[in-house]
Amino acid sequence: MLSGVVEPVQSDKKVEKVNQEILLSVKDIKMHFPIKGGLLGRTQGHVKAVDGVSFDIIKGETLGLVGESGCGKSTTGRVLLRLLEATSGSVNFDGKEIFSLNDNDLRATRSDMQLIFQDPFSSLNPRLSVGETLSRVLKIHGVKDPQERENRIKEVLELVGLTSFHMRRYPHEFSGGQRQRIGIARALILNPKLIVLDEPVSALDVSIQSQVVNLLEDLQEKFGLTYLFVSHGLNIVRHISDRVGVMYLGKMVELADSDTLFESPKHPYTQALISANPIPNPRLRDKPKIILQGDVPSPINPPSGCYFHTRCPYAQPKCREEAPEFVKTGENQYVACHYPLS
Amino acid sequence: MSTTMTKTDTLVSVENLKTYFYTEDGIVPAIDGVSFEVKKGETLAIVGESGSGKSVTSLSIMRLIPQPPGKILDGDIKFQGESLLAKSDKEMRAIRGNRISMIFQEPMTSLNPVYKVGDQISETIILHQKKNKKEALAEAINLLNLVGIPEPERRINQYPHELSGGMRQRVMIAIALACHPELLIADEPTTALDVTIQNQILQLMKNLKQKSNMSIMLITHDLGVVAEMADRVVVMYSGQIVEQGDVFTIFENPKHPYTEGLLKSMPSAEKRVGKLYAIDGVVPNPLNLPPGCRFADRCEYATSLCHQEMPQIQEINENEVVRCWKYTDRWEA
Repeated sequence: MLSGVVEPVQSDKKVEKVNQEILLSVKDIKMHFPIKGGLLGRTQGHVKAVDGVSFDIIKGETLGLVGESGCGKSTTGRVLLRLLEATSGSVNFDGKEIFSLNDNDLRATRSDMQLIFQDPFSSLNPRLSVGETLSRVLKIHGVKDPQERENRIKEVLELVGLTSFHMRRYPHEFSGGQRQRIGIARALILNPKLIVLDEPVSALDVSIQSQVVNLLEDLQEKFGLTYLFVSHGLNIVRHISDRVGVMYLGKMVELADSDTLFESPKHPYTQALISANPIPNPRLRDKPKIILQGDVPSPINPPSGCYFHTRCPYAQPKCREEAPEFVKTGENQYVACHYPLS
Repeated sequence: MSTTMTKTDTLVSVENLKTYFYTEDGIVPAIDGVSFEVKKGETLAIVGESGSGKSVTSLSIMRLIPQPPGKILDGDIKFQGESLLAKSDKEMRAIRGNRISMIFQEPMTSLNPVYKVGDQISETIILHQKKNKKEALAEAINLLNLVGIPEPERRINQYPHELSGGMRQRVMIAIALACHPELLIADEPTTALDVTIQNQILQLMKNLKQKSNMSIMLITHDLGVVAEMADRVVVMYSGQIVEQGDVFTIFENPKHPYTEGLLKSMPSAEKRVGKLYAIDGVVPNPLNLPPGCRFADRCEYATSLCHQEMPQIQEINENEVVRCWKYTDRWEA
């Protein structure tokens, strides 16, 4: 097994990237879903799921994307794989403009960018054995020789901690953790450069979560993979990510090195999110917390100015009127706030 | 907060409870000899992974186990000294929602979508407190105020789908508190909520408990929530209690290797470590349980004794109970 009790190594790979080569560059993407209604099914408004998000992903890094439900983090992941057609913006992946590729080129590019889903059960076809599921992936991407396919499948199953014996089994015969390993195998089998992980461990039990996280880290090291790790679990994101982006109502509000973001957040929302995160230490339970009032406003009709001003404990008149720019405030730290915290 | 437990009166005592499910594939011992107490005014957390039996424990107390396929085979549940298992259905109905109430994980599926929020809250009040509809609605407004819902006069006329997830959970709490229960069972009350909303709900539960001296039985898999809320903790694994103790002992000096592993495998919120600690393997199949300790296959300390013979649960300190061979005189290190 790849997981298990591994000696704690200092994660030096997280420290310095000498050649910071950009693998993926996202520029001002917007994803507005139309709301149809009425007798004639006219568009009555838009859900602004992603509303102008820009960031880069550096080769070999893990970029974490956090935020509450409805903030647009999963949609962002899907838009940049072009599983959803964005309303506007551009994504450059490895020198290719993803949004202007034709179907054939897009399919070819998809082998380089893969997705792992939250729920490993609903994302596997229950009627196909694991071997068949993986074999289809290879067939679609042009591996014609059945023997070669089988070898590749055996190899990848071993990589994720399963055995060739599991090829003939069906999804219902596996536990949640094992199914997620199959999901990882499916993403890995085409030797991708980038994997978008959408809440990959949220559905798993605590003791299984760490097995899967360790596996993901081992695979990243072995194959030089780049991850976009989308999750609402702050602790897991902090553990796995080199840099972390925080989203609120379809916008990126802060982006920084993992340690910088968690130790000195600049955006009041990031600060509140970290403060709300329960710490597994009963001695710290009486530490005062920032409790945000109210709920996230509707993305159909977001507030004026800064979207967070309705819940922000530090909001000023300017915040109601003017949307803040997403600007660099420190080395590797970007924030969208008129009055960033110091 | 009651770190020093001065009130030691027992509210609920579960004694050697066995709840089995008779399925097509065989017998599933969902709870297999579980004993613990909930004291007056305390928050007891029950932690465990999916399938460990924590939810079945709470449903057994409420006598809500579907029968068949489920059956309470053995043991007893005493509430204020009276056996709940001996009560008639009618007597149980007078207790449920009145003296013991429950909130569930998914507030959308636990509220009736076709009734107004106010009617759902007042139903409980009318049923248990002999009030008329007008008085009950006035009480519903008070309760919504208490759980922090703005404009309660308007909200009582809304339907569940008009409320956000956090609001719905507040409504559930309002219904649960309507009759000032002695015990509130909260089954994963914040799992479906976002972290900033979770924080609001946990603070609310803490405040309400302070005001009323009710006991809370909190069922969760989230150790962060346990650390935030609990006075004492019961750790379950594969239908059995493996450890029980006060919250500080459990977090700072866990005795059972499973508890130890769970705590070690949590990613730290404060700093980054290298590799995460992982407990190898998976929970045993409940249809085919090993004869020895159910955690032995995944335990780094396991010896042949652990695989052959099931350890008994025993008290090793005051208020500290563990099921592990390591703490017996038959253990040879």
